[in-house]
Amino acid sequence: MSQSIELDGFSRTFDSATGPVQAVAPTDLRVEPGSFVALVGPSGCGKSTILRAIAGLDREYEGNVLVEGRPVNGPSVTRGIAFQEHRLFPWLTVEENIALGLQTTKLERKRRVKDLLDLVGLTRFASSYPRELSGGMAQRTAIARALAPSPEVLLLDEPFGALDAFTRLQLQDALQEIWQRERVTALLVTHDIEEAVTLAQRVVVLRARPGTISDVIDVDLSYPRDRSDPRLDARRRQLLAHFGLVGPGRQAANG
Amino acid sequence: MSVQEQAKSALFAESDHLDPRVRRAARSGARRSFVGRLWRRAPRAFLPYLLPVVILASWQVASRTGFADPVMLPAPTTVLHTLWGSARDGELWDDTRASLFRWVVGFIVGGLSGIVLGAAVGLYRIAELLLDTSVQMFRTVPHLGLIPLLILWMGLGESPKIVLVALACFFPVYINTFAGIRNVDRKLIEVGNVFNYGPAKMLLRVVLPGALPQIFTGIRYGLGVAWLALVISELIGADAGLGYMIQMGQSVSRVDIVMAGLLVFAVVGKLVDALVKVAERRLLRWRDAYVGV
Repeated sequence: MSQSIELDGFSRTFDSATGPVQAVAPTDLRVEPGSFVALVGPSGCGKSTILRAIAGLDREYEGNVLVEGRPVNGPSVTRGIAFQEHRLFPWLTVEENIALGLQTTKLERKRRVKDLLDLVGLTRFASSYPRELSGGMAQRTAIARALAPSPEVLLLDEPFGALDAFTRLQLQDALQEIWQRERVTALLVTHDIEEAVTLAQRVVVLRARPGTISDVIDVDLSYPRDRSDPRLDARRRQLLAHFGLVGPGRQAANG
Repeated sequence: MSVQEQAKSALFAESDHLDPRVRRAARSGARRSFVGRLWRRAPRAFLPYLLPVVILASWQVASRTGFADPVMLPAPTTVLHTLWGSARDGELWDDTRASLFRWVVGFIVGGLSGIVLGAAVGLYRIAELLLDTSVQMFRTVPHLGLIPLLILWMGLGESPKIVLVALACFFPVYINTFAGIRNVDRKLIEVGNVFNYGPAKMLLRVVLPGALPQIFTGIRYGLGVAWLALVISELIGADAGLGYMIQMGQSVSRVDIVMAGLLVFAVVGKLVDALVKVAERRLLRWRDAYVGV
């Protein structure tokens, strides 16, 4: 039900007005099937670039992107993706949006959509239009849409980045539950250290210009996780220290 | 309570105050009594017609009291009387039918080609390069100026009139379809890519729905311009039609007949526009656009 993801010497260079700019320097990464991995880093570290390549939306990279050992050749329904903006079709209702990627019989589609509405807690909004939804609800619909074709891999590109802090925490908890129930390989791109530590089993830290992996931190705690767990705190501190955001000398370092 | 349970209850806590019925109720104001609602809506329903009613009333008075020349400016009631007479003779129906026929056929020809060409140019860069410059050059030719040419080529039958109507509505529909497609959010196209949509599915499920609001603008504008082109085409060598009716009125110096013809033009035009507006509102129910204060 889930697949591995592998980057093998992956790099990506963009053309700009001032010449080519390397967004991601040659990088290796392996995500185990069924695991939850977060890519964290400042903007410009290439984390979204990596995600788009795995999704099959970008093919202009060098090196290899392998999913379950096979090279990625364009988008596939086995890899669901949710973006920072919900990207729902405004002319379709919540249930129609969720059914977008489903190519099954009508009866089966109905059942799957019903399950997903229940999973994301939007059963009563099945026939609402996106304009009638709050930001959190729209984002939950988008996640349900990504999960509809029962993908092996769920790619999340800062899915909660545009939400208010309170809704974000709610959705993080919901995502833990969804991930456990759907048993997919989850790869989350975020710039939120808290979010990465709370959700992922492994946090991959990226550095910018050019994007490279600078550290990997394992968070071997069981789910569902409790935010007040002191063991999470330790990892959080470790990550913050990595970016020079805690501890003595911080003032001096930031000048 | 486990984290899982908390998450679940938090989910519903957020959903609770956002039930769509609650939102809808909030949007339309608190529930009111029937009379209360009627009173509230009355200004919106009647205000648009206040000015026309005042103008018509003063006109009636001016014409009847001899303040205005009743031959050059016949009273609204006189115009209605003339209209009634024409309706009883059956002439009015023949003229209206003839005009509507030309309008509808011309619009189907011109509007459909506008949508098809606009979509082709909007979807394919190669089509844009091949066609758009030519279309834009042709657009600058005033199509009413083509009337002599059309008459020389096609005579005085139905063809030149329908061609003129088709030409008039082609451009607004073409331009708006083109622009509407180019305004579709690239990020939604990417969603279609994620689900491996082929060209046909992408067109029908993403591009056209996304462009529909602007295509409708083109259609409404096109219908209006076509209606104008129709009058002009019928002023020249027609033997039926509302334009012909006006032309006859002029040649026998009957201002009331001219006005009756203009009135029918206005009413039919407004009715068709209202029909399109209803279709628009139904099809674009999902829209979340500014509707004015």
